[in-house]
Amino acid sequence: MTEQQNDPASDGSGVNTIKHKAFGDIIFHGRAREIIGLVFRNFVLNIFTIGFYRFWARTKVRRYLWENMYIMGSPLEYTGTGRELFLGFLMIIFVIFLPYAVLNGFLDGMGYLQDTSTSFWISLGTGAIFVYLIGVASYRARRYRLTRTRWRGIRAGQTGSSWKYGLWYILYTYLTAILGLIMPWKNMHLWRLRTKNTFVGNRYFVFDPDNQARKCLVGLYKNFTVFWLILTTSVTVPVIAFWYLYQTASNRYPGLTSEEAGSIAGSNIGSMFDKDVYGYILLTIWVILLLAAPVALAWYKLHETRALMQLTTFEGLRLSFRAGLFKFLGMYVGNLVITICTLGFGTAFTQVRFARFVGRHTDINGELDLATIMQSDDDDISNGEGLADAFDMGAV
Amino acid sequence: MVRVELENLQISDLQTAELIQRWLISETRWISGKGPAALTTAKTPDARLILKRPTLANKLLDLNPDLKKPVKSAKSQKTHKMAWVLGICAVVLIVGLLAMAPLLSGPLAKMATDDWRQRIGKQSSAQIEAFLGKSCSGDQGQVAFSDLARRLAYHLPVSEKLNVKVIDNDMVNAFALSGGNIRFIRGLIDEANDPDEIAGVLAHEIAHVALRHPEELAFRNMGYDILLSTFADSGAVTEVAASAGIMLVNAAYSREAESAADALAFQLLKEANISSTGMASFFARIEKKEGTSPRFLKYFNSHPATGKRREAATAHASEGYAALSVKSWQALKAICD
Repeated sequence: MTEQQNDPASDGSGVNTIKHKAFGDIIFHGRAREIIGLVFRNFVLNIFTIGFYRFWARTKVRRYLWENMYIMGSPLEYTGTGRELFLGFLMIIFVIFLPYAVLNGFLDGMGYLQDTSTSFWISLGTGAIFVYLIGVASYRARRYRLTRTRWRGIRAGQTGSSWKYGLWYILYTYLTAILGLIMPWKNMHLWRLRTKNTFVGNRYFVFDPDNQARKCLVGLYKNFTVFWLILTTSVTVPVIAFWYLYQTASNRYPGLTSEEAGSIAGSNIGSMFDKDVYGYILLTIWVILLLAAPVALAWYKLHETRALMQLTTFEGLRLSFRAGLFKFLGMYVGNLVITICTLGFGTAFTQVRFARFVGRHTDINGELDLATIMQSDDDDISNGEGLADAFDMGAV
Repeated sequence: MVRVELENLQISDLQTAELIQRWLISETRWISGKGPAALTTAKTPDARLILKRPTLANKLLDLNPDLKKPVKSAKSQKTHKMAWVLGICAVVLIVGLLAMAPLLSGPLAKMATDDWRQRIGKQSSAQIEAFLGKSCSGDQGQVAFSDLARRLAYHLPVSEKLNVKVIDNDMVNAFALSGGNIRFIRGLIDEANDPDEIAGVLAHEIAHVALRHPEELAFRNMGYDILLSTFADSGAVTEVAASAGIMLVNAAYSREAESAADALAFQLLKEANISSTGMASFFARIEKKEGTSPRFLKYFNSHPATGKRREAATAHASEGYAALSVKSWQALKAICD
């Protein structure tokens, strides 16, 4: 591959260095209303094929998303096909889901699942396997999407072992369940793993080239602690109220069993909020906390996105994310409303809105010396992985 | 600088005017969306040309109507063979399960353990209660109903533990469920003129239970369920629609099963010394009503043509005592009050 073939895209000016300002940073040219026809068509075909059309539907939507996303003046291209997704799906069916369904049916039929302790261990085991596979599949799906992505004709891609990524994923999933405070650390580490294995042409993305990650993480923990405190308090308030009522009930009627006292406390918890002044105050606090929790989460997520994007670099380029809390919340709430109102069939609309949001609020800083980027050596047709990279479970 | 020259697109350096590349317009493709046009060419598929001004792009579109046709990727051929293998596997699996489910469900139903039967029965009766309403709790009516069921089941070759209940709903219907569960819907009790008619329907449902028809149905549905849950989009509306369709198609027993249940029911009635003339008269009334009352259709459309059933019932009609005493019959009629 010669340099020239890589890059006639410099619009004939012969200049190989892109100054981002001349081309714009990231611009998404699509609009949600433009794909109403596409979404409707996909919906109808999905119904008639009991869902089998979804692979082709997803590909069409992706193509729209990619080709309208201009990065420094050049659009992305999506070269994946519905057939690849369908084959990946069939592979998954035969390798994982069918054996699972048969095994489960067998265990159930033989009555092994009747025994609570056996069924507990079995479901714990299969649960762990599935969490692991979700990690593996998400990494593979990302690789699939990247290998089917081109920018200025240059292929993108992802290296690194998905099986290893799956191990990190399962570890963090269970750790988060035990200790929620690990979340910022987990998100940064997984982002780092994904980013540093991502390449465009023969060049890799670099995460945190000047060791700012630790400092950013400390800042993120300040944001996260706010959310975490609100969440834990909103869970604790009803528990405290219940405990208080439980104690009152067992003090008043000493003969009660714990079960009876519990049911009295449970039935009193509603009336307590009605009558007692303290109950009113408690209820008000609780409602405020419940409303504040999602806002605090969005506030944290905003800072996390800013930090992670800022630490992500490619050659001379750095990303920066400028959206404020209001816009950020608006995007997520709007997408949630769309998803609920369309019973999930409007996912494509939410993706277009997300892409517009990213385009509008993301800057690219620095200069890119295009002459240093060559086409990646391994052509993904001959990399021998065949269908493996078609294990696609991603929603995008 | 980019210029159109005859059938070529000439790309040259802006300063030195030196030619960089020459693309055949017929081989050129437009691969971007609504922003500035991005072009590529079949000769050098890695090359890209971005046109900032739409005028040139539109001119090219006039010159080459295929400009926006998608570029064929070389990869798709490679996956071709694999596609066939996997596709055939999928078809074999689907056809296999569809064919095996009805064949295997009978023998499997006979082998089912009591635990399993009870569990499935519990699920189905919970579903019925969720859709149609709570079961009625009139004490004396329940005693009369359970007693009648016990008398009818007494002469079965293998004893059955029965659990009979009446569900409070206007629908005229009765269900035999897995694990010896039988549910009458109140409309049927309201519709009946005398206890012998109820006894006839109850004997029929007990026969279904004894012949393990509900369990057979459960196994058949399980096969379809595996198929659906593996292949259909999980959690989507389409899956719900498809499984509702399967339920509709598959909810009823075959005519053979119904005839077998009828035959056993006549025998049970005879051995319990209960008059089976009620069954004949009930069928006669249904026959009259069929078509006029859509409520009946649901229950009876998979049953053998009621005309034939009435003939069979009349032929088998045996005399006997009344199925319930006047007092018990009144209690059963009032079970939901």
